[in-house]
Amino acid sequence: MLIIPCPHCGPRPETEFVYGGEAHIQRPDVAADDYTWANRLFLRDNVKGWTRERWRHDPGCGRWFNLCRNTATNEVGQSYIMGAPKPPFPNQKI
Amino acid sequence: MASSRLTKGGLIDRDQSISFQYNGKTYIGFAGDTLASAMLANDIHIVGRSFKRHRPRGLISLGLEEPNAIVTLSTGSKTLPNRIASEVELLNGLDAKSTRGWPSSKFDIFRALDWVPRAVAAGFYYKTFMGHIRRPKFDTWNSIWEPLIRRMAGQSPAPVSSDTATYQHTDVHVDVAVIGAGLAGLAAALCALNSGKKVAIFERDSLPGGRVHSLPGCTIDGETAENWAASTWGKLEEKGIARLRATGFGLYDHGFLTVFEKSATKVDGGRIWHVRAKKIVIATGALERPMVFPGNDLPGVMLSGAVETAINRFAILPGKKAVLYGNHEDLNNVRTALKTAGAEVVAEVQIDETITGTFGSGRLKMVEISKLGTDGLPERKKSRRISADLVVTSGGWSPMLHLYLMAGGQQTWSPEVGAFIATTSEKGTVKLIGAANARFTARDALKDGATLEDNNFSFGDVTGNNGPIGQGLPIAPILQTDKQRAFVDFQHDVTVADIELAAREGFRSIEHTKRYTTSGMGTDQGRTAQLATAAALATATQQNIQEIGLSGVRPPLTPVPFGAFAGRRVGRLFQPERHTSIHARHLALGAVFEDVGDWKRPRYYPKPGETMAEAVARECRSVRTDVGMLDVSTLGKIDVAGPDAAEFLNRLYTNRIDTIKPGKCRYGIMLKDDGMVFDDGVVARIDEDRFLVTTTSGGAAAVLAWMEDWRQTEWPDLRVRLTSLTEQWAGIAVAGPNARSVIKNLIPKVDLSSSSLPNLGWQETVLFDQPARIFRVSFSGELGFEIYVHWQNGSKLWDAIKEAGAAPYGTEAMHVLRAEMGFIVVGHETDGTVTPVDLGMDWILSKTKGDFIGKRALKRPSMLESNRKQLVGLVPTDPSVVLDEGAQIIEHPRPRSPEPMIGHVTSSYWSETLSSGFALALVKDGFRRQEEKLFAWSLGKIHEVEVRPPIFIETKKN
Repeated sequence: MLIIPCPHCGPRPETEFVYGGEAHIQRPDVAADDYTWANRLFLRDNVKGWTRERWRHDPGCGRWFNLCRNTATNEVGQSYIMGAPKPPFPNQKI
Repeated sequence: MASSRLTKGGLIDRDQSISFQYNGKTYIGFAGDTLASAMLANDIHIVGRSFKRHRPRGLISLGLEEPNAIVTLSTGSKTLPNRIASEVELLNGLDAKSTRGWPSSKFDIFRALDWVPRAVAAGFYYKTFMGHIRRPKFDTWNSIWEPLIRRMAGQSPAPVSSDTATYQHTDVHVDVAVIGAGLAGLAAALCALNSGKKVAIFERDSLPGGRVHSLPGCTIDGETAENWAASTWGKLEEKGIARLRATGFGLYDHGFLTVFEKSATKVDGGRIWHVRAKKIVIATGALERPMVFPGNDLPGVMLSGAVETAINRFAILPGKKAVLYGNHEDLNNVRTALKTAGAEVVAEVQIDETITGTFGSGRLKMVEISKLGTDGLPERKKSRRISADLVVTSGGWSPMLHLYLMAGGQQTWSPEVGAFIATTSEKGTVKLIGAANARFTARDALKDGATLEDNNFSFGDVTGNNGPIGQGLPIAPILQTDKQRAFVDFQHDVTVADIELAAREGFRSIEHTKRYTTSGMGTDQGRTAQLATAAALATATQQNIQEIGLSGVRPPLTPVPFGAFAGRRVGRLFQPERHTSIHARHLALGAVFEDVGDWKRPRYYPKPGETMAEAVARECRSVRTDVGMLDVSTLGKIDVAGPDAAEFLNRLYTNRIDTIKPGKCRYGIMLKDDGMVFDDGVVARIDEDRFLVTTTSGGAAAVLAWMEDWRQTEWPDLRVRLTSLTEQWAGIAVAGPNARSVIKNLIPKVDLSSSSLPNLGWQETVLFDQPARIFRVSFSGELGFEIYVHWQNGSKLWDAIKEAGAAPYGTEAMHVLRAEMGFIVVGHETDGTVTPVDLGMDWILSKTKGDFIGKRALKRPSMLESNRKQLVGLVPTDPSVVLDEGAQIIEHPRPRSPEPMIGHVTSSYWSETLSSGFALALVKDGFRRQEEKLFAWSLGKIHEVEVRPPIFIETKKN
């Protein structure tokens, strides 16, 4: 069971959080074509390794935030508030 | 006293005898015994029958790896299935039964199977019994084979009554958690404690010390190892968490360890510890492996460590004439122990010899030892037969890496150790020490633990017996003549011949071979079987054992009762119930409730002697002809406030919200961004910058979370705030032609006429001295009002309306009434694949808004196809029929195979107004099928139906 660092409440057990899928997916304009919308609606990278994903601290502060997590090892990296720039992954050169 | 029990020694209390039952007979053991040791002391040699061949089986170990002594325990009317006898402490009145053998484990008629072992070779299920698939008329599987196999095989029968024992859950956070209180674990815990750390240590046995009780004579710093272990445990208990009978059964991400602690005084009950530790120390020791030879499963063949434990800890001599057979020379301790206890070592199998057979009926009587030829195969011509009642076997020791592997650790074959060992002793915050880290001697194990922390902790000098835990030599090549009787997995009856058969049939991977032969798939998880299986497969496929590897491990490490996982969350505490403030009134009226989300909602209110159908018909009649009342407090209510509230809701709903005037409300639908209907409800404009959104009773939390997601992540620029008001407002719907006259005296200050309060209008007023709201909305097609008051005034409002003449109705009548009007219910008519267009609700999609959630997805090509399932009404040709919800819609009265399913019934009821059954359904191309005759299939019954528009009753003008 993960320990997730909520940017507002600090480290908390995974059971307090709701998973929200891959982060940084832009919602296209309503005029965009089918391909662009299919990407938005249905296609995800499904990375093995470091990813950025959305979590919500549901019974805590109720806030959505982004988290770096390694899907292969379940290591957890930095969490950051919505709208903040993407931080580098651990061991990643900037 | 039983003959095997020694008169002196051991850690049993001879003054405290304990009476227990095994297979209906009463026996006596002592305090300090386990069920297994007490059975051994009472000369119970056959402890069960094997899984497929029903061979008699005895104890081969006295620890958690025991594959044979699996028992069912009874306590009161309850049974506890599949317990390992060596892990059950002896308690007064313990009632145990062997799990297999018919009529009994001692005499078992299925033993006949053993004479034809090929009948039950690897994969026999698939090879023997699958004929019925090709010839369905001769289904021998269901009629003959399955019932027979169920009697023959299987484990304990599943318990029939619920587990009433109390199980607790406890969470702890520590710096260091140590699993295993052998010498290494104790030293590590003490070291951490001395370094000022918060420590928890868990030991599965009822005594700390691990192997020290089996191997007397070791001293640490001048005191006996037993005393050192006890005094160290005392320090740990005093200053940290130290628990006995506690097995670490799972290790998860981020230092999360789960431990099951058994009750010390009862056979059931216990505690699951949830341990979060900065450092996890695995000191789980090593497990001994049996040698593989023909007849290695005959009762009387025991592991050397188990024999040492029997003699030194339990004061039992398991045999008087012993043959020693190991693949390493470190059997000195067991030889000494046997001789001291009065047994004779009649033979020791030499390095150029092997055992080629064991003889005896249910108990070892004779052993055949043969010389190995130059080709490595035994030559039975050069054999000798020796009378013996005990074979002490040791195939070396394997570090117990299960928890380490669960934490993502890797293992590798070590030719020096003769076992799979960890590639590194540290993996993240997990550290292996002691025998688990291949530090087998007392001195090495102690040192490994004592250097856990960087301080000057010293445990003093280790003298005397330094342990054998004998470093194994490379395991003996398994070249045997009688492979059908050389077992690698005792519990699942897998022999070397089965592994070779699998190899011949093309299995090369250990994981596939495991599943095909079922080696290692028993409740013992193949702890004595794993390495032998890998070695046999390596030999058969001419691969290196390193390439073969061992099969993966998963939690739980040992069986944990389901009740323990449930903890206190059983019965009423399983799922909390939500009650409205009117609940007591519903109870007093004798309501039958249904679950809607966590809410208990009245489904109908039967009068004495009334059936459900009669009650629902009566309730429907009162709404259609007079006036009814329904508790709608459970509807989700969300306050949406802020300067951008209208814009926010405009983006979430398909229709326009910004054009609602204060004092008005509007029905709205929300979609997911893929265009599928997500929730519906009424949106009321309270003020310019404030709305009250109602949601479905079950969907309130999901809708609020959905709104929060968009507010926080996609549109943080919108100035809007969301608050759940569900449990602030109690609400009652009043519906029927006489609704107005019933409530008008209650709310004298509001003019209820259509000119003042038109349909989809609302007004604020005061009831019971507090603010209240009256909405003119209807979910039944009749004149309808919803009155909301402060939550605590719900019952008062209920009483007042009932007094004025309204008749309570429940959710079932509500469903009938709304379905008659063709009003959808999210979750009935929608299932996440249904768009508003499919529901015939194009009118609710605004054409004047730029964008809303789901708008673009509705333009995708697949959404525009004509053969999508669409909402229609169905009326059965026979009006007395009420279709099953979920019935499949087909085109032919006699379904072909395969008959295409073109739709399904989403809602179906009896209509009192129509005097007929009727239904809503989603049917492919349904809009164009009006008046078509179709057929509804459910559970083998077929009814003809006619397609109608999904509205059965005309809307009335009020």
